[in-house]
Amino acid sequence: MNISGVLVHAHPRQAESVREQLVKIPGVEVHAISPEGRIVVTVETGSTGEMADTVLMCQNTKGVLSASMIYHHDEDISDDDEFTETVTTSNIETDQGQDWSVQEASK
Amino acid sequence: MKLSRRNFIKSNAIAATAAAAGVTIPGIKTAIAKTNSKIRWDKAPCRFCGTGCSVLVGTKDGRVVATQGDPDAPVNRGLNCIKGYFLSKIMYGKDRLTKPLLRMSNGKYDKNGSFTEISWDQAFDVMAEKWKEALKKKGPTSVGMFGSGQWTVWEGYAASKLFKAGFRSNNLDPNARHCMASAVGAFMRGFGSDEPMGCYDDLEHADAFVLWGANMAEMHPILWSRLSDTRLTKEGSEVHVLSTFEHRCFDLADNGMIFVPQTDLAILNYIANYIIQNKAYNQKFIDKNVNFTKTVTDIGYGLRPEHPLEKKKTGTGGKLTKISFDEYAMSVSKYTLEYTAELSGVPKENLLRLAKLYADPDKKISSYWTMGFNQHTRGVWANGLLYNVHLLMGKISEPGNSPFSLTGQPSACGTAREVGTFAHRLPADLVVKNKAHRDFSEKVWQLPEGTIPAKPGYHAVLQNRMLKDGKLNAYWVMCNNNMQAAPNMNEEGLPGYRNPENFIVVSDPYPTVTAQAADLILPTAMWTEKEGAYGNAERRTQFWREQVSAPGESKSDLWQLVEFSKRFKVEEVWPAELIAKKPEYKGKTLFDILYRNGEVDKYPKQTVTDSDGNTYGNHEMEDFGFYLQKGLYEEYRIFGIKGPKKGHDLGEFDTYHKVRGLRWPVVNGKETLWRYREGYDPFVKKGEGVQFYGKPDGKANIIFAPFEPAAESPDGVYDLWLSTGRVLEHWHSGSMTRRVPELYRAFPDAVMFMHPNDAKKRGLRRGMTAKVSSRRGDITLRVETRGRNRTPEGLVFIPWFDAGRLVNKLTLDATDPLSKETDYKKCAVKVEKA
Repeated sequence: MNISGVLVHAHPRQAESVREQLVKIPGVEVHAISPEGRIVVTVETGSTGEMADTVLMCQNTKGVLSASMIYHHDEDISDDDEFTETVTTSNIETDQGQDWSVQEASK
Repeated sequence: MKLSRRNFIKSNAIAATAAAAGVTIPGIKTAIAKTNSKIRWDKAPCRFCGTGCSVLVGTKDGRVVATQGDPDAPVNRGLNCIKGYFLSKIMYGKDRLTKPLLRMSNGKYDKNGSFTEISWDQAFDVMAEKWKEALKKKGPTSVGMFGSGQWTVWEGYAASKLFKAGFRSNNLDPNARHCMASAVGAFMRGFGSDEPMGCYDDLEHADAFVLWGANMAEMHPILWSRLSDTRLTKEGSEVHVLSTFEHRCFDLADNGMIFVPQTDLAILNYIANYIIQNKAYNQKFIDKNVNFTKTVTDIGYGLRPEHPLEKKKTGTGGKLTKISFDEYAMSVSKYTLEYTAELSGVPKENLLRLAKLYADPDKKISSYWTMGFNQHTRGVWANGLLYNVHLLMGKISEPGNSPFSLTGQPSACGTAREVGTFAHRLPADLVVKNKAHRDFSEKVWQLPEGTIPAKPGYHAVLQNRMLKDGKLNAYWVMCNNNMQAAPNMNEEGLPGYRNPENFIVVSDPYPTVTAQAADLILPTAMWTEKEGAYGNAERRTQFWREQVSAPGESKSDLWQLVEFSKRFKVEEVWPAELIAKKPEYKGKTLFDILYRNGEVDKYPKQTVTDSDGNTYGNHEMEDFGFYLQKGLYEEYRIFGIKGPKKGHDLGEFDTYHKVRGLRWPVVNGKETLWRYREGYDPFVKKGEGVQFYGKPDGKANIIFAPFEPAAESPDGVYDLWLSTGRVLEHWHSGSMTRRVPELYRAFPDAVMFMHPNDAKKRGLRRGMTAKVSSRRGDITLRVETRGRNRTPEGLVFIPWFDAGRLVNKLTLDATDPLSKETDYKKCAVKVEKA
């Protein structure tokens, strides 16, 4: 299983249309968009082979200025491996304490 | 809440990305990498371009399993481009070389034999025999080496000592000659000291950015990301992009300009002319800090001397003559808006907007360029003409005002330039031609006077010519893929390597095009399989520890260089009169003299640890019995601290293992962000303001140079310009990135980017196969009329990463006569249906 986090840059005025296009790509989720046009994206694919394709599709999406890989995990794991740490993504804040539009991870 | 491991990983991905976007998530503030205890994480600079991103390298069971953008790195702040993202895979290509391979027939070396596995002992036996034979027959100029801007600092330094001092041959040149030599030439002519005055912090300080022949969106994506961020968040900021074809950077451009190849020279002079005509120049700054000069013109194209173009030239070299401001103003006055627009094909309003930007005293401007300026038969001129513009306005050496030469290789600056592995250079900006510089180097290296030859050796392109001509006979290619990279492969590269008089050694982790053209291949440890140091484009030196062992019998370049030196007794390489000046060297080997000299072997064997108490291997320390990397570095550091050229100080070895790099000059442990300006640069005294101390009078040179045409332009038969370059997914010749399945798959084969009308005229459509020919060769590849690069009519672009479609069969070996750097951006081709 492959999971990566990608920071996408777009013109702020195009950010919403970029989001609409991105979420149509299989495996792509958008988690937050900042007023400056920074979009927090995860990509999840079955094989590493699809990962580069998907990330490059994000990069080649109309209105995207740049897409930078932030995090990548590539490991054979099953959902049985339980992890005890508590994680929440619902109350994301900026360093300035500003609220962000947040879309909860679907799984 | 109990989370599945998958959700945990996903949350980590979100947290890391959000953090990089300036968003924080409570509870996951610690470095993501540290949460998985099974993986050991440590920092290393990326293996690819000159940006110098730091990545966290995750190692598990002796194998690198993951990489992640380093959130603590000032360069990339946790970001990573797609190549960096797949870094962990570059070392694990299926065809990694693990044993030395020699061309043999019937158990003996045979240039026409087939590659056969041999031991390192046998490899060095045959190599040493060939070296000694060449030295005996023709002397030191018959041996040489082609090195790398991807070498670690100590590898470049060890190579420099081995060749310039050991073999007494200056025939050592790096592949950085192909990418950075023009930038170096202009720095030395303009400022008397190599490398940029500014740094990446300018990406946030500037109000406007101008790209001159740099496709940062694909080649320096992380810097582009920072630049984009400034453009989108800073009120009134703007981006201007100049190129010979439209690329991804044009998406962000407020003023995008496509110009006819070579006319950048005219555009730069037009801007200077505009500034002068409108009296916008900074009088105070130029009075105090600038000399006006002009350079010799009509200097040819660096081709072989018998080439008709060389016979036609009327000038030679780069001598500067002082002129007055008025003479300079007169010289640029020809470059009017009308003339420049006509010549360059750029609409007047775009040119005017660009000129007004530079002339606006209130706008802070950072200009960026890479190969568009450097790979140019007038590359030193082009670099200089841009400095002219910044100097006229005084927009230099301060936050945001920064003419900045980007680099393509991870240590083109740190190794090739700072260590000075060029055919004419020595460490810390010293040159072989200067007696005082040789004297100083010989003193540091504890050598008798006269060891280092005064004459510059063969530069990159000349090395291939001399191989073909049989003058360079024992040749070692290390850490590069020059058969694929060098121009005019059919007429110069391949005939030289296969010349029966020559013995060619190639050290590489993979069977590259170059390795396959060699006689002996040495399997090489790469990147984090050894301890290393790189220097990036903003003068930042970064270290890393050995993370894993190299496969099979692979050895680092450093090990190879130092071990090979044991094969030579000084009597076999130096004349008796030289040894007589230092009789204690009698009977010693080059290893004893160069590396066991009391300095390099000063630091005893020890365990390498990090602050968390993790321990790391060091194969070289194990084999040689002392901390070789540290000894080489600390000796090298003397050049910056005590050498004749001011302002090249580096910090102590141990410091760099702790920090995310430091930008030199490093004085009292403190790095320098902007050079030459009081308050930022420790070498500029209080009250001096700006001081270009690389020059004796502290003044920079404005250098007038005119527009002159390219070496080869389209004509009736070869009717299209050919430009070569890179794509986002692949780095340089693709020897690493094409072995990452994901990157290979993303952009498997090189295509030819072409205007649809040009395709149509030739009966071609997108996806069809075309034959591209120049006067020197031909290749066939697919036509691409859409996508990321949109060429104007009359120009095609072909990337050079593809070993199956070698574009350097087409290119011309025309070079800048000053920098000896090839112009890969301009030659003439024709295209037909295949």
